[in-house]
Amino acid sequence: MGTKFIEALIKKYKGLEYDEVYYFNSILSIMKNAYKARYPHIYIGVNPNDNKAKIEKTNFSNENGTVIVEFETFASWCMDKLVAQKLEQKSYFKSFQNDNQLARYFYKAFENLLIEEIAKLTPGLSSRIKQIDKALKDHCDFDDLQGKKYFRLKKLYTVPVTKEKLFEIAATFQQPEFKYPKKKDAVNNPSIRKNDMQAYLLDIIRQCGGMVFRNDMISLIKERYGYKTLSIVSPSALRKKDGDISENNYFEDFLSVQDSGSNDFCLGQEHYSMALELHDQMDNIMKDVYYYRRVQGFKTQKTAGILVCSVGTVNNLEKAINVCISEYFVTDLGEANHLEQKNQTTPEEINAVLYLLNHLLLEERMN
Amino acid sequence: MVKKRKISPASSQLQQCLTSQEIQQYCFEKISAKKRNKIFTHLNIQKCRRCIDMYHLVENSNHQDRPEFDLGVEFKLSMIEKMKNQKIDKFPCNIPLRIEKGQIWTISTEIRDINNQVVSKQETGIPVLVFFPGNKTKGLDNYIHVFPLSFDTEFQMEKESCVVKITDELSLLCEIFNEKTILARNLYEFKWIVPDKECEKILKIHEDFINEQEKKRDLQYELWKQKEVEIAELFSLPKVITTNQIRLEQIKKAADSSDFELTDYQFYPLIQMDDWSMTIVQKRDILFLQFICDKPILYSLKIDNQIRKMIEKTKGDFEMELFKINNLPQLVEISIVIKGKELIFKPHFKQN
Repeated sequence: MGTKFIEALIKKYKGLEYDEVYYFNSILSIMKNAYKARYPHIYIGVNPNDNKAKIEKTNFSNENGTVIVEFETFASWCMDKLVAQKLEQKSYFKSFQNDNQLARYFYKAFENLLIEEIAKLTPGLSSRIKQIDKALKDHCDFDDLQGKKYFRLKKLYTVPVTKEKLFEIAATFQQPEFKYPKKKDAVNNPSIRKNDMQAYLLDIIRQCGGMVFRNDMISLIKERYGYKTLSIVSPSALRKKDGDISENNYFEDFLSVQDSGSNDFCLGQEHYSMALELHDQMDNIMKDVYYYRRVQGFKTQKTAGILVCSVGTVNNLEKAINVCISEYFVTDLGEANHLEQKNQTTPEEINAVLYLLNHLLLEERMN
Repeated sequence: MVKKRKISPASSQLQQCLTSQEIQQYCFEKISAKKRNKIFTHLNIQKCRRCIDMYHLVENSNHQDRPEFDLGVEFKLSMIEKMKNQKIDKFPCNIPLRIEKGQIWTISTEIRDINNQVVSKQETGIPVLVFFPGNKTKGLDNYIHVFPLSFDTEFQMEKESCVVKITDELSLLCEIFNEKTILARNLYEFKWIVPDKECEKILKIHEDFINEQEKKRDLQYELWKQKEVEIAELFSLPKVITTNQIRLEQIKKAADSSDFELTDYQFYPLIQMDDWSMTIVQKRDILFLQFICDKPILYSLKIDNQIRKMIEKTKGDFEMELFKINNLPQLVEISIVIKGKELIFKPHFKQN
């Protein structure tokens, strides 16, 4: 990896001659990558005057809160960030191992910029989203189903309600009122009491059967409180990659994830694989003991009663479970290609994998 | 109540943050245990707000399916033109002959030890402000003292840091609390020089800082500070801290005893190496610090965080007065940077 890009930046700020086209094209490709990572389901049409693209742009200004900025707008923001907001100058005051590192630095800044700028387009909504997450944090599991985040009442296993049904049910509830600041010159947005919001949301979720998609819930709140997108930047040159993309895919933008407030772990694919492997290594009776003792938190005696066995048997099985877990993480059991993965697992990661195992067993029982 | 800052402490300088592509790999692909562990720690232990938000944003999509796109030629040309016409502040392009107080340099991404061996490689190097340039060269064993600089000006804290203005709209945060000793050769590129007046102001804040008890601030600030210290430790000299107790002997006065020896010295060795040693010497009611070396060695000394110089009494025998016995503090911190290490001694004094 070379340093041509770094050199161009340094020359620019030292007032020396540099390859402007190369420099701009490098910056442009970073912008494109940051944009594509945020909006992977759409692409930029080559011809902005394409009639088809023009027709399709109406699809993007939907009411569910999706704000998709056109690439040219994003590119202008990035240019502004680079020069007026001194991102380039800041980079000048750093040393980078190679061009890739400088590109990575810009990339992260552009990612942040896109999120921040889109948030500004619907003022007030991000606070409401944070409130939804906080209000439901202690009462609901927050996970995802086929890539779509949902709220589900704790320890309840059911299917999510449709968006239409959610709106229909919610229509029967009166939403809590805004509290306006008493001071005339207050700068804060109107607020809603957390307890009122919590009760309102939980009532709706219960009425819906216990599970709703998070984006649908945000759409509902946006609609009920009349949050307006100030300036919908319509994607003139954008169109769908393929025709059949669900509404939720479009909605899956920054708005739905601002400060989830969840205390859950942020886990990777490997953690899920490890939990599954561990699950498969236990026999049925071990799983039973694990479930009653660790997931349900029952005492040994109660567990023995449920499983119709002696306390000593439960104790022995618990020891076997401990051995199974510790061997899984520290020895060379299991597939060879997982050896390296497991041996470098930290105690915190082990906890996270066990947390997943709990969920797996719980889900298994509920189904 | 302390106003919450916008920057996540774990995102300081964006240095350790992840890109959405990396998070996507973590979520949906098989990655190395090292990488997985790094991402897990950043998300779940350091709890970087920025990257947790990114984690929730990533989707499982097939990147290969995404067609390439391009901007219209006109738009592209207008952007290049705009970029050309933008007024930018230019920075000096000369390389100073000597390292001087007030200079801002970046740290090299390859950190070398005193034997010129690469000891670590970093992806990025941060800027630092030199406030003690040692012998002013990039020579093999020149030790310099620097303050790391950061872009997180939101974290400015009275008496612990100050904002250094570079241009009208660009300022850097001088981390006075984070002073570090480094090998001058690990400086990479000269960037700027802070005017003398501003430099004096920074040194005054530093002086006040070392004379004051360090205060605990809000959690967000403390987390950020800890992160910054960790980043700076990647390029500063390794530290070895030794704590011991020194029980001072009662020195008799001539009138107390007829068999009094007037040259009654007490020696309290701190360290004895093959070719150098450092000792606290009690000469009646005064404590001295003595440094003896076989052949000339470059070193840098700090007593209670203040840079001090010793006087060479005879060849290879250096000495300086520390305290009078009747004015003795309970604890003193003696730091000597020598042979690529910073050795810190924290003797507690007790009088018999």
